[in-house]
Amino acid sequence: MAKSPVSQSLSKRSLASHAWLGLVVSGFMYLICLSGTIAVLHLEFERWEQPYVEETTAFSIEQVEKAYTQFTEQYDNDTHHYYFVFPGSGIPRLVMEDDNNAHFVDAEGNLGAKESVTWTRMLGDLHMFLHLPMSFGMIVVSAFGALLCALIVSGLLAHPRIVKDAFRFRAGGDGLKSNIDLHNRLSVWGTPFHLMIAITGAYFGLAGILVTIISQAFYDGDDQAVYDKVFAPEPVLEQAVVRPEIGKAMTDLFTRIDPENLIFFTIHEPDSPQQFIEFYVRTPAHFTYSENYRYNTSGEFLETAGYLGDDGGKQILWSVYRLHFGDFLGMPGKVLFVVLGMMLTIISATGMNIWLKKRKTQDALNRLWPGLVWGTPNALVVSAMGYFAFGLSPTVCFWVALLGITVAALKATTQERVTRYLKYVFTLVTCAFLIVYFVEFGPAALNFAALQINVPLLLVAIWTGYSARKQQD
Amino acid sequence: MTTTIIISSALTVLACYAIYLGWATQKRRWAYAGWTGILLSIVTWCLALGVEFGALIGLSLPAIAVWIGIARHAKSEKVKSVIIKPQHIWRWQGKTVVQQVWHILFVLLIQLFAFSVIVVAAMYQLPVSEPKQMATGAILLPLVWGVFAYWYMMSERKVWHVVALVASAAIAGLYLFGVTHG
Repeated sequence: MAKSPVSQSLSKRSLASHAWLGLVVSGFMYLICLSGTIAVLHLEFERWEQPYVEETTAFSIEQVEKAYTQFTEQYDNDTHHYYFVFPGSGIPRLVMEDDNNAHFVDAEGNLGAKESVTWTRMLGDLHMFLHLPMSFGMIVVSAFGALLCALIVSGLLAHPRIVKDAFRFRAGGDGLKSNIDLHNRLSVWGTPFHLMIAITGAYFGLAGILVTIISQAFYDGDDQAVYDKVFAPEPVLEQAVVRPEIGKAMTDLFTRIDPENLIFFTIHEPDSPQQFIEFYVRTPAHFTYSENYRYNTSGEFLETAGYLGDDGGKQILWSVYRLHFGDFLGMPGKVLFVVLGMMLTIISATGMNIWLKKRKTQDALNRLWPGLVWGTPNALVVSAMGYFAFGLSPTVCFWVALLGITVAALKATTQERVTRYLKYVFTLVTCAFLIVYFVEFGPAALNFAALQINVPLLLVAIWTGYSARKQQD
Repeated sequence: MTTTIIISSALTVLACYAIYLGWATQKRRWAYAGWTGILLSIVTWCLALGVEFGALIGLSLPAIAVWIGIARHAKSEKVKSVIIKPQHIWRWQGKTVVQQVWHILFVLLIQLFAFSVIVVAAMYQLPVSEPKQMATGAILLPLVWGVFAYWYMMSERKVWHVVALVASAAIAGLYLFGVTHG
């Protein structure tokens, strides 16, 4: 096989650069990667939070109109949008909502329980902005996306034996070699996926900065003018203020699309002359989030937004969400993203492990790091338990638990003990959580919506306990 | 579609195993066959799922499939007795702290704003539609920033990076906020 073209000097300097960048992002990158991997299943977690809700993939136009009527009668019109979410969203439930409230809709079109996605939102917010103030947090997380690009490039150049070691894996020993091999094998072979995740992840926060610069440079500071170039501008309408003809619009829409692909519709600016209905429709075989079909208040077709049109630029920008979150191909696509995302999470964890093990000395960092690595999954389970059992804020529960566990890790004498104890704790906390969940939801805890999360969670908890036991032996 | 997916999956796994055989036996023909297989599998994935999904799956799946070869070749080493390392003694080194804080600020803040301006100015020179210019900028910004962050940290003459970046950002800024505004 060929020798690596990377010179020793370059690889040494690259390794130093790689280590510095890795240390700067370390804990944050781990939190972002782990929460992102779990958040791939955010739609499944939403169902899991309310497993008792009726599930169906069928719906009728009459059902939608009835729910809309009930909703607008129940809530005053202090909103800029109404939404109706269909099973094509990936959740086999019907939801009628405005900017402030959301209700499930039953088979007859009546409003049911209020939608509550508090824990799932906490998970998503952790991934997207680390629970910092939203705009600032998104820029910080995006910056880590750019630094992930830097880590990928420096990692490849820092690896003089990239070909020679392509399939090498040495388990056991003092853990240094196994961490190095795991880190390098996962990194090198996963490069295309990691680059895609880094670039699409960086987009969410950096887009706002780019828009501000473009608007200041070319549009006299009008940000909306920039967004209108990429995302179809709202139509300018002059029409009588009447109840929107949802049924007529849907009847026409179903002559243009397969109803299974309907994600949701929005009624923009209700009760105003600018009111219009916009249907978001999945585009099979494309990452594009949707193609949008617009209708006026009378239910007459206006236009499509053109996200699948001849301009590839719009299509690329409208594709970032599905690309980043693996929301395509249904469950097989999500499983693939969970596996690949977990690989990136392991890379974050092992990178720091390598640095700690290579040091000739030790200090509190040696125990704090495994405290953070194994404390995070524990804190996530604790936050779910606090939320379901006592209605506590999952965000507060998460950070209090993580801080407590990480500080408690300082009491242990070695890094290995921290890992082992926290693995046992994870098994116990997860079992306790599952009991809480069963008590909270009763027979509904046996619905598919609950089991698709709880069974894998239990299996992970069992594996973690087994792994701790093996480590002890 | 199901048949093409099964064929594509098998092709990915076999191609990765062929690359492994090429690596383990040091025979190039296995490696060439493996890499050809990977390219073919990307094509078959595209046939099965369309170009967009197919390319992503075809490029990502080897990251998992190679573990058959890695597991086959894995070696287990005996657990060594744990060596207790001496405690690290932290000493306040003002100069080092200031240096590190500067590097962090430069990489995370200054490079962010400088490359944002540079990338926007560069992308608006491209002879393509405005959405395409924006999409190219959104893709290139983290890559360019990332590569230069790495280069800066690797470089022994960091001051030249700072000078070059500030000068480039100033030219880009002059173009964006000077020239375009007449």
